[in-house]
Amino acid sequence: MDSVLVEINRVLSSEEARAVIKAIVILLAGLLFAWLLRSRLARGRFNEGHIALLRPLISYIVIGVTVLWALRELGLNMSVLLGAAGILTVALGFASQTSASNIISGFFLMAERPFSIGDYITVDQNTGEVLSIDLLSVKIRTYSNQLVRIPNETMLKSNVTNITRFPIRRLDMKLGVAYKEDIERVREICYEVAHKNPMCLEEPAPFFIYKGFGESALEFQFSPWTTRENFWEFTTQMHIEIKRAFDEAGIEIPFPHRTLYTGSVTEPFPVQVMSADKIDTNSAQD
Amino acid sequence: MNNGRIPETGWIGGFHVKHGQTRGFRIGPMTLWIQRLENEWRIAHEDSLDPMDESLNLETETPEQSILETKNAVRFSFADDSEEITFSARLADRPVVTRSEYSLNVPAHEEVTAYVSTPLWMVISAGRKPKLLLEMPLYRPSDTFFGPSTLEGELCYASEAFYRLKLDNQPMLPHRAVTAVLVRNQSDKALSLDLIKLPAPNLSLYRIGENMFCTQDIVYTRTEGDDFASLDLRQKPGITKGPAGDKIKALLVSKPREKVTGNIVTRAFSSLFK
Repeated sequence: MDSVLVEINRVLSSEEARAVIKAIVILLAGLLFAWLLRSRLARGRFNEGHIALLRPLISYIVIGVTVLWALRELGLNMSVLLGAAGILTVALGFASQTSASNIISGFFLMAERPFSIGDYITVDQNTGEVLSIDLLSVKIRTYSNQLVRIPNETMLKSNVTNITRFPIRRLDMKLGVAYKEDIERVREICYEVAHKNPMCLEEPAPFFIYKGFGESALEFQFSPWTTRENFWEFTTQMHIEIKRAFDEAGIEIPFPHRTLYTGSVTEPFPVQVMSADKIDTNSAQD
Repeated sequence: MNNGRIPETGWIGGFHVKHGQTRGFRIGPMTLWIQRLENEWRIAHEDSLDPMDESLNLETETPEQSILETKNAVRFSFADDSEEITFSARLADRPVVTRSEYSLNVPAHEEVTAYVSTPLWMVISAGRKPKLLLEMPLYRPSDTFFGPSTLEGELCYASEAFYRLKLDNQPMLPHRAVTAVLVRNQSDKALSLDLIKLPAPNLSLYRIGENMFCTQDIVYTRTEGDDFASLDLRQKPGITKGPAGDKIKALLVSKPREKVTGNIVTRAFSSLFK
């Protein structure tokens, strides 16, 4: 028994064993430090997007430095390792240009903060809710419940519209009425409809702009405001209510008419004239 | 015979609805039907478009068809076989912005008392130990945005009633509460009092008489030349005049939705959108 203890003591007191223990302690301390930094990040003044981006980055850097340090303690020649790492870095650099560009773009996005998690944004043709802002990409969920991954570099280069940044939104309704209508009366009806809808904000007040004499209508824009939560419901309601109010007031909303003309060279369309009896018979058969 | 209604309470209080019975109530612009069925309460309502409707009838006609045909009908499953339904009231869940009929200016170091009328929310509970079924406005006011720009501000309700400088000119309606707002302009600049924001969620609601409601008084003190003022909530309502002009004790109906402690500074007057 004593001989075993003596042997253990001899092994532990050797230079190699001490180096291994030291390396393990450094690794554990590094992991603890990375964990502490990540928890501090969650409690800090960073938003969810920043945390999602910084958390993996901090882990990679701290753990990388710790591993190098531990290897040095084990007696590994760092110059050889760093030389190999340099060659590897060049190779990786060429291979991962896009990823690096995305990571750097992610930092620019983080600094600029054009949107946060939970916002609704439009990028190119995609509109949806921001689910996450990651190291390489932003993930959004479209209205039709599809996941779209947009690389950070694309986000930085594209026009991004944040739909939900501000608490209220304006609905721009492009309308037209027939030339015979009284534009003052049309304006009154629009304001009346807006006033009766509780989702329409009193302030900022709606406004009415006469846009000009169109091809087939007197054209104008009516723009009431609502909250961003009610926007889609309000859009539908306002169009229904304005159409109904115009119908009740006998105001005509014109639409383009198409006249078919065969010209003078071609034969005219064949037209068959049917007697009333025959039409009735045909209808009954239908 | 009181038809199940607890006497002397106006529309606030308990009402009896027998199994299989439908009862109708008209409170201001809202017509309400309540039906008691086995293990179920049904509630439906219709609103008139007049926010200042004075109607009050606790025995209105019930519709011939099922009340579920009504646009706003809701059903509640209820194991308790009690036939008791309780009505109460609360103030709005957002601040209410009210305007003057004609532009009013308060010169520097002057003060004015404005009487502001705000809509009430009806709270319907049922059972021996009342459980909340529904809370809804007796008249749904329009939304409005109160702030210096479209980027920054607060979502509020817009009151359809103008504020008045005399209490007698402010109608005391069964579906609205009146608040006395003392505005002290202690700055060196005149104050244009086109709009006043009433912090309705921070106020208690009181009943004076059967169907008249008020809140405790509030004081806005403006010291700088902008639209901000410090808000001081008084303990009790100053409005204690009953329908016959006699003095009446105000009874608490509901506590504030959000309690405020100490003085707070808030944007209280006109916003950018004029």
